[in-house]
Amino acid sequence: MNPNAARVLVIDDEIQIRRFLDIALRAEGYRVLQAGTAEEGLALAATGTPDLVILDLGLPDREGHEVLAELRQWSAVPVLMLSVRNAEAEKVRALDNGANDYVTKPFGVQEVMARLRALLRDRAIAASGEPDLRYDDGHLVIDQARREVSLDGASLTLTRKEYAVLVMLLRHLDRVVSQHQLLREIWGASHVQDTHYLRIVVGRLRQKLGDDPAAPRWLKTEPGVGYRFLTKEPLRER
Amino acid sequence: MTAKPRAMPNAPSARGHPERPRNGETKAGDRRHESSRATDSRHRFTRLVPADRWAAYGYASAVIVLGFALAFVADRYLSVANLGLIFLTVVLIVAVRTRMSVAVYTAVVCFLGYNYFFTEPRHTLAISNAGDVLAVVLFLVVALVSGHLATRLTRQVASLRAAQRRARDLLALGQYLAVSTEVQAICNAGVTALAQAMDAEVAVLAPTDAGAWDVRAAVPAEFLPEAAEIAAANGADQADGEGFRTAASPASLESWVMPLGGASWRAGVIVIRPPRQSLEDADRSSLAREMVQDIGLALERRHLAEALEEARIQGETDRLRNALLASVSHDLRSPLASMIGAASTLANYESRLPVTECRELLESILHEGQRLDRYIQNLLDMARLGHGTLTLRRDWVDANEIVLAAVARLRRYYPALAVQTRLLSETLLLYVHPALIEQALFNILENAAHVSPPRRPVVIALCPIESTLRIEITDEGPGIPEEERSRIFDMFFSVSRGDRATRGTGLGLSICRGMIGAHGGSVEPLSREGGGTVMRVILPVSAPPESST
Repeated sequence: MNPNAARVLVIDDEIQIRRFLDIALRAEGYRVLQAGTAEEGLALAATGTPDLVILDLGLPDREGHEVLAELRQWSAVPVLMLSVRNAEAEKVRALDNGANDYVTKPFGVQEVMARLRALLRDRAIAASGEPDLRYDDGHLVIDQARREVSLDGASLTLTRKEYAVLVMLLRHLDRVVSQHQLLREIWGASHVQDTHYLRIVVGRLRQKLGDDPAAPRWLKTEPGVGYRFLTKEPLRER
Repeated sequence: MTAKPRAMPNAPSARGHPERPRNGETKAGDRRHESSRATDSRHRFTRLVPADRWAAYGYASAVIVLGFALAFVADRYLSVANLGLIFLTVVLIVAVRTRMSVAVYTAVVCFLGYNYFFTEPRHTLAISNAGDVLAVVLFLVVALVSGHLATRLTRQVASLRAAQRRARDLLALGQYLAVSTEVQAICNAGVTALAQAMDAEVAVLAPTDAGAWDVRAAVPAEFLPEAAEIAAANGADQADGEGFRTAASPASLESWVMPLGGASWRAGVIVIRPPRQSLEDADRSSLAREMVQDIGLALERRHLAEALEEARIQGETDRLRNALLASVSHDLRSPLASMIGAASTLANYESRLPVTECRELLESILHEGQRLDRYIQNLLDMARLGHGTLTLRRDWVDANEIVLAAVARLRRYYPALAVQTRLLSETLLLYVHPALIEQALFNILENAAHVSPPRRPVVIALCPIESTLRIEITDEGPGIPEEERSRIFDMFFSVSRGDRATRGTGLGLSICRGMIGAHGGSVEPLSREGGGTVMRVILPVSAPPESST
């Protein structure tokens, strides 16, 4: 649980939030950098070489979106946004601007840790140079090398689009992929508004996987934002 | 106006056709209108009213007789040919004052009389002198031509006068309407202008919810619509297009009923009871229509402006409500986020954490819980203040004590803050609800603490002034811009600046003002020299009861 003692930068103006994140992150073995303002945060991101940034969208001196945009000009560090609920447009905007995932306030610390692990997993994969082409959780097996999907031993027949959506979600294990990203990647840039394509394909995928949209095992909808492929039983949120 | 007879004995039955009636079956008795009204003498002979016909001929005859009398006198001094000038003058006088037919009548009578009485041989229609024949015939020709020209001129003058009057009336109405911004004022102005211009009884009828008609404005004020007028009002209101109706009623020979406003929007109807003569006058009636149209336009403009204003206010209210909701949810969620985060950290990592960190998390939960409690208290207070259900439980308290209590509370939440107190040297008793005043002072102090730069003090100073106590809370924060000073007590103000504004203070100051105000005091922000804000609270001090010591 300690991927090379990754450095995490927390940028949030609420001292109480920073405090418990600091305690929990250190308990998980991460090294923690803290910033209370956007300026401080950007400076630390540049000098502290964090492996991951937790960024609050509501900062006193500048908007989180601006900070993200500036950060993205010179850094590809994974960014986990903290945002309030019912701000789907904000989340989508942040994801489109290069944020890697988000957590909705108020959040339990486990949720942050799960997102964090998912984001840092990429870093580990990149370090090992060997992307995991095979997913197997005991029920669902996805073998990208052989382009095969099977559920409890029974092979599934997926259309090209269904397979493409599934694989794209799989490549972002436990991380949100926005509708926009999925549509642009799989259908092309001219179809980014055609969210109904996506709904139909995901609906059929769920049918084939026997996944209940109300309590999904694998394909979780993030309302108004996108989808997430869950590797474990979903966290009991709220 | 009021001298006008209310009941017309020979009122004809209602004319159903919307066309204005032309001159027709008028009774001679109607001339009493004429005699009761002195205003319109200049129109007297230019009007094609049958009753005038005989008056015109009588007038002409009188002038003719006068002319002949003059001619008989002048006959001794002038030649026969020159007498024609006198008759020409007579014809011109009559022509100017009457119509062509009367002028022709005058010319012919003068011609015959001239011939009969003055040309040789006298007392016959024969003329012996060829020169006289020429004079008489020329007289007739000149009399007819000049009579024609004179009547035409008169008519032009009359129509110019009418146009001028019409322009004046419309201008007067325009001026009235221009200064009227309220619906009622527009109605009053319109009715007044119409009544003046038409010399009529005028009323604006507005439809009620029950489908009846209310008199919105009227001249005279005691105007009561008649049944026939109400029936016409219903017809006019529902009519497409012009909707002009007439109605006969006991109160008026013929009332004009016109819808007020355009096809898309109706304010009601206007009822005009014109005097007898106006009924015959196409100009008057079209002027009335024009004026009613103007009034309708003014009302419609007002209506649109009101609708716009309403939409704006609605939008504003929605915006404020959203801002309040956003603020409340932000204020409540921030401490909750910290509490949930800290508690979940404890739940997950307690065994791995050093004792000091566990303590820190627990304190954080406690602290944030208290913060949440304060916000909720503020919200409840606000609701109670808003509903007027906050009752004052007054008691005698020492001013110093109440200030110290608020300061002590502040120190708990802002342990690093330097608070300076300048208390009173003598005991000053206030008769107040202690908890509310303490809360009010605390809200101001908390606000000051929030905006204070690190290591700069917040000062609270007390000073008795006459029968009041002045409490000034000074911070060295950024200060409040002049234009925002009156608005900081607005419940929605600081919250409407969104997520990035100072938090948790949106309701605090408005609650503070409500609480101090409930005690008969006041709160106002002043600017501090060298930056920062002074919040000045004034509380009334009443004489304490006689002590028994």
